[in-house]
Amino acid sequence: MCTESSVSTAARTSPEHCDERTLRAVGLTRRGTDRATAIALAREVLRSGAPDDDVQYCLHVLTYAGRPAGKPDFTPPRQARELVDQGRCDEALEVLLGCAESGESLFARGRLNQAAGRHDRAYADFLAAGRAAEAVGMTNPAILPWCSAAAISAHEVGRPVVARSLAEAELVAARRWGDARTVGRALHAVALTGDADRAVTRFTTAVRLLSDAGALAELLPARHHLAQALATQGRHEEAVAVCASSLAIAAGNPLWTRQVEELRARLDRLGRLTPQESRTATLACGMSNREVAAELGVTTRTVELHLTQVYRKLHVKGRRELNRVILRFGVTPP
Amino acid sequence: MLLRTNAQQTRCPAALAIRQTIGGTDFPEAARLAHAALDAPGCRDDPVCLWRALIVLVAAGDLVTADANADRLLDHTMHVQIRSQIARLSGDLATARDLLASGLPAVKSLQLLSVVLLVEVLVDAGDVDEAEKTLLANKSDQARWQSSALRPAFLAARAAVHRAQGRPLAAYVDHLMCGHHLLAMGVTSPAIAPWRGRAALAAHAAQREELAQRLAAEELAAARRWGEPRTVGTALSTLGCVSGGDGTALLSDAADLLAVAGARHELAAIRLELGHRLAARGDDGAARGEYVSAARTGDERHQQQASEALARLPSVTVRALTRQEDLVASLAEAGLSNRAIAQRLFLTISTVEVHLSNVYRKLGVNGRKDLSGALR
Repeated sequence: MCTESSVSTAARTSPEHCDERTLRAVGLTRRGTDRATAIALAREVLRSGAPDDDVQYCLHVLTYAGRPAGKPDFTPPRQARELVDQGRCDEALEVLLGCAESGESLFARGRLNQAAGRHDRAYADFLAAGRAAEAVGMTNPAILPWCSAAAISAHEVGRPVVARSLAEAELVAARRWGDARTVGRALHAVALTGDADRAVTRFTTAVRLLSDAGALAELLPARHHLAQALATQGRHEEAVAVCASSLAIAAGNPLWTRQVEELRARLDRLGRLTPQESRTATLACGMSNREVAAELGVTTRTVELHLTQVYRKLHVKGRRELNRVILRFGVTPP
Repeated sequence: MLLRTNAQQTRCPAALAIRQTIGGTDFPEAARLAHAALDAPGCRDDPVCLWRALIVLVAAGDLVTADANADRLLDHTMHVQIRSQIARLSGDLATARDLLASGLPAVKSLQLLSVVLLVEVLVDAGDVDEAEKTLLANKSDQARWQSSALRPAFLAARAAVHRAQGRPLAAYVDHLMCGHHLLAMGVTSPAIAPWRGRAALAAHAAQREELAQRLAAEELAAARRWGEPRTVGTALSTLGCVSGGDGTALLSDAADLLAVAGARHELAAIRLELGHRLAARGDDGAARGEYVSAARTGDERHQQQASEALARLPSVTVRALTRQEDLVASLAEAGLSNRAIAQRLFLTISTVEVHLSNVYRKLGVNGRKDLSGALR
């Protein structure tokens, strides 16, 4: 069963005997307002040879502030979240079923639903996690990045206006706290939900920040989306390069290994199109076969033959699926 | 006027932040500049810079930072106004009102600002007569209003009173005049003044539907350029309210954004409206969910209406779930398939289905996707 001892619940459960400085550091971390002071206070407490409770709280503070000084004991919902990140969803579900409902457990359940592709439920979970967190005055996205998570789910279920607004709101809160991991995570959501022409730049910055912070769990999805954004712009060689280095990082993580391999296979298939097939496929996105034929100065029969080859090479079944693939992944420029 | 900035201040982050906010694009950038102003050597001890930074943070929805830094203006009159704005936007209307009513500032221009802020808070709180009284009591300052840069704010407050007193046409005219003044001052951002949206609602109340829809669409476009959840949520809800059709998709997007922004008061109103619309199309289960959420926002004014609306819905006898039903429901809510639930509890799939349909009936929900709301 869940015992609550993390910073995310400390305001309710923190024992009175805790050091004054610990309580202040925890308060700042929960609000997410003054990282420098929180770090200074926590370090001071750790140096002073404080009791175990204080040490635990301060280790949490430093971890969330991006200056880990040891591994704190995380609560079961938080462990569940890490299991999902590692692709161990069944184990995560087991842990989660034993937990009482809290912001942390709702968030972990959202991650679980997200990993299973149930984005509408994930969205509801993340918003519920946010309500629970705000009800106890916890507004630091370093602890619970529910807003960007909800943004990504909203994006997946086709609610772009909400998605963008949520992602940007988290970016503001993340910059207020200011550690690389939290800002990188928010920027990833902003890149995904914002203007397409700024996506690659933003993903690149997010990847750099997450890589600096050593945040593997967030780095893999950010790299994956970077590769996708590069592909959409027709920069397939760069996209393939990102996939290749992602695979090295993802070693041992079944969830992301599979995702990256799927993307790479798709890019490989797109790369096997001849220049003429690429042109035909691109034009076919918005035109009838007859119009494509006129545009390319060939017969309709030739267009049909090219498209048959394209369907076979890309493993797609019809025009609609072809359109989706081409719009999302682009074609290698001839 | 404090909102005006000049060329010499191009390096001052507080001035840049205000400019970005007035222009009404990219609220994270405005917030970034405001954060910088709070620490910048030239700004951090200057009350005007601090005031600007705080205004921008409030407009950008970063009430946490605004709250943590508001007391740096403790010795200044603006302190009370900022504090009251933060309270109002967090849904604490009583505190917002007390702060403003506790004493008018000595400087005349700030006095006028306090008056308009107070009037708007009173209207939000449903104390319309008091709002009108406050406005009339300060009418002797009419000449001052005419010339003041606060004229738009005065017009917006007067419009709010008109609207609440059932005079939508007068409200519409005041909102349009307010917008006219703002445009003349170069202010286009709905984060500073959502006059188009308010005018749309007034036009809708006065049955000028075409006008209402055009204004609401323009407001949403402007709100999306700014992007902040409260602003976008408010604009979405306005369009949802005035647009013909169903509008429930717009309203639920609006509700989610306003919930995130902590706009309890507006949220309760939208949840009620959503409930009415869902009930009108016969979706009692979903309507019930919205009414319950409306009551839970903690907004007193709408709590009463929510419970009345709930009472009007055809009654479902809410019966307690049996232990087994509760277990099945929690597993289903956690995302397990019927097959997985059956395996875990050593039941057949059809037994699980029977339990679940009992659960749906007892909770008055339509299916799995509504479970999470009902169980909470």
